[in-house]
Amino acid sequence: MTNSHSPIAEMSIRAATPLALLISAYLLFAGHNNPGGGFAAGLVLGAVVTLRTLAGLQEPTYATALLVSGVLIVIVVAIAPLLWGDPLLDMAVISIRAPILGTIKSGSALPFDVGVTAIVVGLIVALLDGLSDPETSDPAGRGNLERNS
Amino acid sequence: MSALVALTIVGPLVGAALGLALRRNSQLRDIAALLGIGSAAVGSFALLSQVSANGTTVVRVGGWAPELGIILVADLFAVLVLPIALAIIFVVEIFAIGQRRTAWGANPELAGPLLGILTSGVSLAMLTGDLFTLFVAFELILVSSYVLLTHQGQAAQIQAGMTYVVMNLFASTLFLFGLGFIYAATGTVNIALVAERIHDLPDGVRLGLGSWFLIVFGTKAAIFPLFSWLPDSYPTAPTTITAVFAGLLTKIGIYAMIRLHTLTSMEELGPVMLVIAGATMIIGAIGALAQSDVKRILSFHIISQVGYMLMGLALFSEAGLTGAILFLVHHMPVKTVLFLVGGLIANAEGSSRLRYTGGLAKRSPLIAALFAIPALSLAGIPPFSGFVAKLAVIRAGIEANSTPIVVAALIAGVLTLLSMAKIWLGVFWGPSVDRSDHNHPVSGPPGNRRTMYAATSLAVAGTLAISVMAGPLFDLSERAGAGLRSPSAYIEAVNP
Amino acid sequence: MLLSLFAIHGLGIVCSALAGRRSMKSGLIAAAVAPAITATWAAISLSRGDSPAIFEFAWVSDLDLVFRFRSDGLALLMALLVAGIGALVFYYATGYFKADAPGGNRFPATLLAFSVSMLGLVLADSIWTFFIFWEFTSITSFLLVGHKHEDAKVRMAARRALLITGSGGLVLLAGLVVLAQELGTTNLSELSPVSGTAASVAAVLILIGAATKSAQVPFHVWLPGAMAAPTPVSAYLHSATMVKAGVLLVAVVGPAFAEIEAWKVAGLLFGITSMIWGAVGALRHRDAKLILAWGTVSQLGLLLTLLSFGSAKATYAAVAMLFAHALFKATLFLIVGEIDIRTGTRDVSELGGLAAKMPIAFISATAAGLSMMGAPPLVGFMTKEAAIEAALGLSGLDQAVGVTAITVGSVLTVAYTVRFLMTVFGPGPDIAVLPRRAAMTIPAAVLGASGFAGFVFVDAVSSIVGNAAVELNTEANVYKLIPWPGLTLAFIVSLAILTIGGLFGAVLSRRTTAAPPRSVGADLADVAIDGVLAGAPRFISRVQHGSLPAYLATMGFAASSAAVPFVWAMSLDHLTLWDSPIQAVLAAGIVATAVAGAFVESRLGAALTLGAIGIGVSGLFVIQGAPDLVLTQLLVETVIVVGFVLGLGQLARRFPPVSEAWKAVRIVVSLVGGLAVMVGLVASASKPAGEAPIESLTIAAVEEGGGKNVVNVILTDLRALDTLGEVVVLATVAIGILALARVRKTESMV
Repeated sequence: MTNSHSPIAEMSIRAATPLALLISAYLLFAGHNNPGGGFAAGLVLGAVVTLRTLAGLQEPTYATALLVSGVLIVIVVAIAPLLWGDPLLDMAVISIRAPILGTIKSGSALPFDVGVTAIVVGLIVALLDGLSDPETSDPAGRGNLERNS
Repeated sequence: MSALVALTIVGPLVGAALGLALRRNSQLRDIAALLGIGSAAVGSFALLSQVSANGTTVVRVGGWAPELGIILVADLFAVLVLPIALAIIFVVEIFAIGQRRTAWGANPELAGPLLGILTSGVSLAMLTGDLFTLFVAFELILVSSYVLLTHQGQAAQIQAGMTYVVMNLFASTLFLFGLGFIYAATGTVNIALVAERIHDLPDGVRLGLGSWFLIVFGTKAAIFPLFSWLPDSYPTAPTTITAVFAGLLTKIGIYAMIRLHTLTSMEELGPVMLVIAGATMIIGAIGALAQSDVKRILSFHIISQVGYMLMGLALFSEAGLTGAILFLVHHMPVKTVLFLVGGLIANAEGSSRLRYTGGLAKRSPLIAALFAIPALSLAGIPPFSGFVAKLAVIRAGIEANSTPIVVAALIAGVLTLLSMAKIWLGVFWGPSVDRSDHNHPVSGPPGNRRTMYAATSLAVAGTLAISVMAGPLFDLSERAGAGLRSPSAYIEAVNP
Repeated sequence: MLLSLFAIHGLGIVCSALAGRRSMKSGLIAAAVAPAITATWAAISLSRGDSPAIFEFAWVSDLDLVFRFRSDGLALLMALLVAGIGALVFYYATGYFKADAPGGNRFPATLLAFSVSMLGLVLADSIWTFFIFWEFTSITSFLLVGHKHEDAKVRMAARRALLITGSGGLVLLAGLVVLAQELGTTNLSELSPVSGTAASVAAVLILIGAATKSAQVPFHVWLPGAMAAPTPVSAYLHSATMVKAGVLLVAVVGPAFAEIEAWKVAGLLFGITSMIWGAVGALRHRDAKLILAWGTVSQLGLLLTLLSFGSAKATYAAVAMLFAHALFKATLFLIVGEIDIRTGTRDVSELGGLAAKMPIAFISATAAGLSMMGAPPLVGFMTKEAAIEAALGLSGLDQAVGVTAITVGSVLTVAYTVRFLMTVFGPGPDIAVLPRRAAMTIPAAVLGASGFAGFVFVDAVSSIVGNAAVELNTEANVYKLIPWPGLTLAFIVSLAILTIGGLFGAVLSRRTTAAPPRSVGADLADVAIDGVLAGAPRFISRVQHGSLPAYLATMGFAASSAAVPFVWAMSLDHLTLWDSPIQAVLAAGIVATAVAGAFVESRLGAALTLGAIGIGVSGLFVIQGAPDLVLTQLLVETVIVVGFVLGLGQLARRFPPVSEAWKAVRIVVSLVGGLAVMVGLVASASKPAGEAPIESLTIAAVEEGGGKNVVNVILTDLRALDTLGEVVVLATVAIGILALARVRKTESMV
């Protein structure tokens, strides 16, 4: 998969990486009031990882760690309210004053979104891992789908 | 109470996540998975005792009103079926730990966590009071079961998994369309609100929704003519996995159908459902007769038995519904045990194909006994639970004067008996087969036999307990059914 | 007391299984204890004339499933037979089997399990208790018939027996459900006459069930095959006890059907046919065991005939016959087993001259045989007299039918008994005989002598039979067994029967070398079963054909037909053409892309058209004012297309070719499916019963959720549980991909 070592592509992907990270972070934080959210942030981040992997800049690793931590984060957010006697997944809301974004009301929805992001990125990394298989054999099951009655 | 409900859903997920995180350490991993599933199972039994004493518990997730948010409803029907479902998964997880990775075993690194995710989906599916969350629960179950089915990467499994996942995803798509219909028609996906508003809809829309969801849940439940995914996929999976699938997956479909179609009183669909029920039970039984592999025979039995449950539901009478619920409660553990014994047979004989088996009763009377009890129960022979369940639905059928369905049920009963005899004759009787002349590997790590036998015996004991307690269980089924047949109580509990 | 009997048996089963691991003999001895105790209890209770004890345990009370037992006169008599013969058979089996015969851990325990099932059946006082034990006798019988299961013939015989009695059980189940409904009770001692169509249906169903168990023509075909079982089993199950269960059933539910014509007619049809055909069968066979088995069919037919007449006298005679038959038939079976073991054959054409070589067996057999023929001075004579008297006591057509049938049947019975005795014990080839085994001789002698004892102690037997019969017919206790009737009409008939039958039998006993008849009935049953087994794959391969596209087409059609009800509720009034004309443009574009996608032949092209459709849909979201959805949709489409591009590299570039017909099916399914969804949506929205809570959602999102982006608040707060579920779904998918990737990497390394 890493057979297209175009220096220009490589350079531009390197350059685009911080920008994309920034966009991803913005989407994550902006989600509560503007279009965005954890899912979109994860997809943008995932796109960067995809490009970098295709360009040979990195290996698709740490998928399981991302997935596990993502799931654990959303679960903790889900059950934490129970400790205070609140219902499952009751989201706490607090106001934060932040630069650029202004005053944002946020709370436990934010870590929840972070967990979502981690899982989405984890999924994309896993996909890249699966597809970067050196062997290009035909995955079985295709024959079944295409057999005619 | 609210915490118990949360525990059954989230507990197994925590166990799954920790199990994955600790996957390099086999003991911690197994303990995490067992604790996750076990805590949910214990929680569900606690829920049963609470709900049967104090009535339906409603949990508003995030504290939102039913109009806006998601609610979880632990009514008697849910907490009657749930403990049994979770106990099954728990026992199978023990079996899986014992089985290790044999030629038929699942990969222990993944089986535990994935069973945890499956457990969570099952809890969510049974407890949710919201149709969209039901969809999510179905997805959880579907994806985790698909991965369990294919994770070993054998060509046969992936091919079978394709049929499984594509047909079920098609059903999911239909489910989404159905949700669209319901939301357009009633402005809500909350089951209680749907049940309340659906009677204000024109008959055509009401029955259209009913029959649409009959197809959606019917695919999951493997009713005629939508069962094709089941017999093609189940036998290819590792024993443990098939055992869980057999006990649970189709039953979730039937469960959802019982819940939705009774709460929305789709009585007009009764005749159609009866025809489907008859075809399902007979074709399933014929399918079982046609097979020459223990797992495949047992797979077709699932279909046949789903027909009985559908029959009970389709009668839309108190007796019928009670019978259907009791049948559900009886069938889940019995079917699981049979597949576990199928695993023991395969372990002992090197194959589960009748050509390659024979004379096992002599060599292993324990396996024979472990098979005989659930097999007799499944065939509806007294004094086992299957007899009570069958008697309940047949009696309901006779009370409702539905002679054709009763005749179909009796014919299916004969065919089931014959197919069980086929297994008995092929596996346990006859001369022992010379196992040098077939290419199925007998070797491979045998796994921890003692754990496998212990798990299976535990499960058999569980089915016997259900037989003994058939009386109280019948009462509970009756009460659970009554709760569904008078939706006002359910609606009142959800939206006071 | 009743409960402790079952406890003793339970203990006995465990003990005999454990003892049987040491040797067959220890297992059998351990198993004999429980029946011996039970027999003693029954004998004492009978002699004291105890009033019935009742034990009841509710299992599923809402279904009337109770374990209810009652030790009345009939139950005690039957219990005495079941347990007494049982104890003797266990003792006998210690001689029949070698001490170290295989299966010691299974056979005695299974036989005892049968014994307790039978005990439960005869003591049952509830329809369902009766049925539960009835089914259990079928299962244990299956296991016992298949004792020598290495032999394929034995397996077939066991399968045939299970299937016929099992099917009968199901028919009986239906009949009992209907009967219980008509009666309003399930207590067998509280039956009252029922009438009407439902009751007639119940009557016929129950009779069919009984006929399968009691081997009545045409369901008798399993019984000769069941002779593949070891002889103790044949003697116990298939002559003395289990096959009586059907007759007993007819007897105990009979009072409920007293007014139903179908009950009587069907019962007579079964009974008389079996009586005659069974006796003919007994005359045709050469295997001594088969002769006796066919004789059992005939005798059971006689019992059923008597019970079907239903008069008090006939009922009394039936109970008496039932008692006598258990004694003499078990004796004869035990002796055949002994002959089999000691000479190595059961073929009467090879046997002969055993009167001198096996004198004790000869005496026992003669006593039993004479009893079976109905010759004095044996109990069988008195019961046969009673039967003839009962038939003579009927009126009109019943009398003619009864007398004729019983006479013909009895003549044939005498004939096959004489033939049996003469061929086995009369002059014949000189054959080697192994030494006697006491364990085999004694039980047969005891049972054989009991026929004579019954004749001597006629008053005791009479009153026991009377006490039993009165449970079935309140007027039945006025009758008595008469040892020396004098020159009555019945006695003359008896003498005529003995003379004609004896001559007939003597003639036939010279012609034993004719080939035995083929078991046509059993073969037919097997052909039917095998036909079902062979037909099933052919049928199922049409349904379960393995083609996923065809499965999907089936699902598509099913879903489309489910949408049919929507058509009636469809109204177009509420539809507007568009909110903005751009929608129309987009929609046209989407449709065109979709149609084009269906005709694209390369996989990459298909993937790209799918992406294009997705982007078109996101355009619709833009117009609806849902930027979040647009963003997500676009990102998802991008990732999916990238995934396709990467993944497709491993597949062929083009789709495989498709036949024209199949293409047409696909097009039809797609069109009909699309139409169905459209109809569903239009109908659902045409007259909604509720509105989506959009306003309160918005307020809730801003006020309580703390966010202006309602969609995001829904995702992370209002419906956070769904989100949680779906991200776990994503994580699971990822795990699956990783697992498969790892499998393939390991494989490619190998």
